[in-house]
Amino acid sequence: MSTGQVFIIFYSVFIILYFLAINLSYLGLVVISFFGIKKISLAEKIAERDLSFKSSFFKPLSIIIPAFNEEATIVETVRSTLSLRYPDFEVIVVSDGSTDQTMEVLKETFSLTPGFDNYRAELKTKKLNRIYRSAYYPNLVVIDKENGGKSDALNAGINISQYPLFCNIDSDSLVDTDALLKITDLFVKDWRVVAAGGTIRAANGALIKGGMVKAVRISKKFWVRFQIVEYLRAFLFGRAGWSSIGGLLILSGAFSVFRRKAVIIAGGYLTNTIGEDMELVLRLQRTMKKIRRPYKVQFLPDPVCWTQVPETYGGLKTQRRRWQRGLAESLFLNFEMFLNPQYGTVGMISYPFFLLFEFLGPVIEISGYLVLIYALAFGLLNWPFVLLFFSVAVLLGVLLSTAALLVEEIFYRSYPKLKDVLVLFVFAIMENFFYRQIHSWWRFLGLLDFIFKRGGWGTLSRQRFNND
Amino acid sequence: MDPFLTILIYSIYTSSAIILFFLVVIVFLRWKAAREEREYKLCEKEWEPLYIDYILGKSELDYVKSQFLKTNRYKFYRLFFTPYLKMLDGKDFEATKALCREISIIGHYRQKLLKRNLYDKATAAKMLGDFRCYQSIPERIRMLKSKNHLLILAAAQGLAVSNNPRAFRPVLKALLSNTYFTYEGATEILSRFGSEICPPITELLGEYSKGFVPAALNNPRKKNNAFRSLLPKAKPATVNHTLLVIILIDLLGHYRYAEALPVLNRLLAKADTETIVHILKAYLRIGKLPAEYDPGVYLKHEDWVIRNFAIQTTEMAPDKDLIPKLDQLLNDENWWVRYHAARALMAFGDAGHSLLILRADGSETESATIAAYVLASKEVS
Repeated sequence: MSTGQVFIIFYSVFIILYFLAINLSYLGLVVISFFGIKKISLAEKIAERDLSFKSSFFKPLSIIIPAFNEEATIVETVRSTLSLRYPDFEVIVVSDGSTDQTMEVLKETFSLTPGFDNYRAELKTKKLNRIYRSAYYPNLVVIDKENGGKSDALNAGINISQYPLFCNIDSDSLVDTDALLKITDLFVKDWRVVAAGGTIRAANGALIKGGMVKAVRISKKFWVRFQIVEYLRAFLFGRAGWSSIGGLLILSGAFSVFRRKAVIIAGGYLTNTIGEDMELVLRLQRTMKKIRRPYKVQFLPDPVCWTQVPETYGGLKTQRRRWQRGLAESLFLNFEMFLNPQYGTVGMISYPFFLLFEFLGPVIEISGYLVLIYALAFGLLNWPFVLLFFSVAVLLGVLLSTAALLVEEIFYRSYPKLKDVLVLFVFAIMENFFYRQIHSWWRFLGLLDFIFKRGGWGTLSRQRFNND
Repeated sequence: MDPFLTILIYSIYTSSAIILFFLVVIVFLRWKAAREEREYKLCEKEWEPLYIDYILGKSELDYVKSQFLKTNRYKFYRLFFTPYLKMLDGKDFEATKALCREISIIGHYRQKLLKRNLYDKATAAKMLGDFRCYQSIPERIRMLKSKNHLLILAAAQGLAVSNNPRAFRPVLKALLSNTYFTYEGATEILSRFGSEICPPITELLGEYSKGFVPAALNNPRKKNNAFRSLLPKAKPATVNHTLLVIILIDLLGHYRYAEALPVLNRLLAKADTETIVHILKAYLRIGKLPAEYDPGVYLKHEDWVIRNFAIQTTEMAPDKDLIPKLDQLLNDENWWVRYHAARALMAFGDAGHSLLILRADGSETESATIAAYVLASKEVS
């Protein structure tokens, strides 16, 4: 037997074991998340949202919207946020050194009046230029500050927030009317909850009126459809599963709620990382453990935040590279949690899972394709094995996506037309033949960005929401 | 064939079969939901005039009952009656409840309450609450001792909307002892009980105001027995007597129970910062102030939240002697205090208004900015 053959055999065994581990973990998560979501749906069924909304005792909330050159969407986002169904809240828009007309459109639309406000510099930020209040909406505050990045803007928003909970919503996102009531209910009913997040879905293609999603439709754009399937899978069985077993590592930066005091103790958002959302969740857990405060990080699949996902190859590639780099940074900045029994499920299960499968996944997958080419070149390929193995991999991928579609159908049924669900099923199959491979490549590039410390946020072109 | 390849082939068959099965289930669920929706709409169309006639006294209960019983689907009954049960009160509510009893919906949920299934039990506890079913109160109070958080929540919510003050103490105790509820969460549920809970709360606070001895918490022979019995023994660190007092004060404020003002004022005299805030908030909600209350002390308090609420109480009984103090607060270090001081001055009529105009043109930055802002907001509104 040649060295090449021995290498191929060993490599195949490794790949099979890795494949088994990752797919069994995913299938386990599917089962766990199903029961978790079932319990959540019961809690939702017995919840009295109308009474909570009318109550003057519900926890007040500060909503922080960081904005950098968002003139196209900012007014719609602020309007939609101001019309949310929530008993007592304030909206804090932080213009992070915008160079376009963001501040001007805000000033004009909401009749902003400058004034010194109740700013507590509990977290360090770049210099503030001015703080404004709206003459129309007493609960709207706008901060104009020097550019310091999203984390810096969020920290400035936390400093000025006056309520015990704060929520960050991206300026290109819209939140369902009852989303905040649902998510803060977790904090109200359990004082241990320090952070909670909801589901993100693609707003592209949906009908939006008055800053609200009026009709859920799937976009006709190829790249968006792949992302819809991806988001369903990631949220409905990924996060829901991890949350059910107390192993949540990440909450979406586009929509999550935090206990202000806990975040202040943890030191706020880190400004030198690109994965500030995940990093904060990890550091928050470390801090709570250090100060011996019981804590919980939770995910709710129902409160939905609609966001504009990238529609082009370039936009998606930039975003995924950034996400992978953010994941790597967050994991390594909190490496003390790795296999640390002190952190329970997070330290012993979810952190190793993320390190092994989410962080190293693209390396393994890319190496697999390289070995395949090598084996093909030297005639070492066992064709029946390769074809069957690839088929199993594809089918398991489709199975996971279909399971997410089924969970969506049983508990939420967000897409009113069966045709839309079937289209998503077709995309769940298609993604295995092209999207999955290219996605791994982007993630691999993201890892290289992390290793060579290159790349920033990149530029995302914002579009107005679909008001047709 | 290589056994490994055989495993792969079987994996392909199995996963394909599961995918197909899931797909069929999705299509079936969609079809079932559409059919149910159609059927319910038909029922709703038929039931609505019947029910309205019944509520208006134009149709007899027996007739309406026989019509409803043609479709024996509890899910549809629940969907149909829940909005009415939430909206109605008095005679109409009782008539609806009688109809529900006759078509055995209440009996159906009472049966479900006794089942072991978590889903059935929790839904039943909630529905029986909506029906204000007094007969099932003992079973639901027993549910408060459950180890399952969802069951406690369902029972507590159901009992609260049942409007029966008899369940107030068990619910309060269960929320404090058997759950991780925050004070806001507990107060929110308790605020659904109705104003009948105010006299016993005033009594409890009256007992507390006579002197509570925290060190004697675990000694049942010490005074404040009724009050102490509500405090959990297992979690003294997280739920203390101050928290319980705050919840009770907030409930009195919520129901605008003016009869409690003397007790609240007695508590105010020796209250800590947190309790003062809640008493002042209660005054604001009640809309009246005790005769002995003097805001002057609290306008100078070191805590800005207290200063803030004290300013708001001055709007309830504008006393011209307070204008200089409010004027001073226009330069307070806290924005909210400055804002409310300016707003309060507006409530003092011409004297306050002209002072604000004067300050808006003045040289002191803080008072000038806030006065200008409040005057501008007033113009906009």
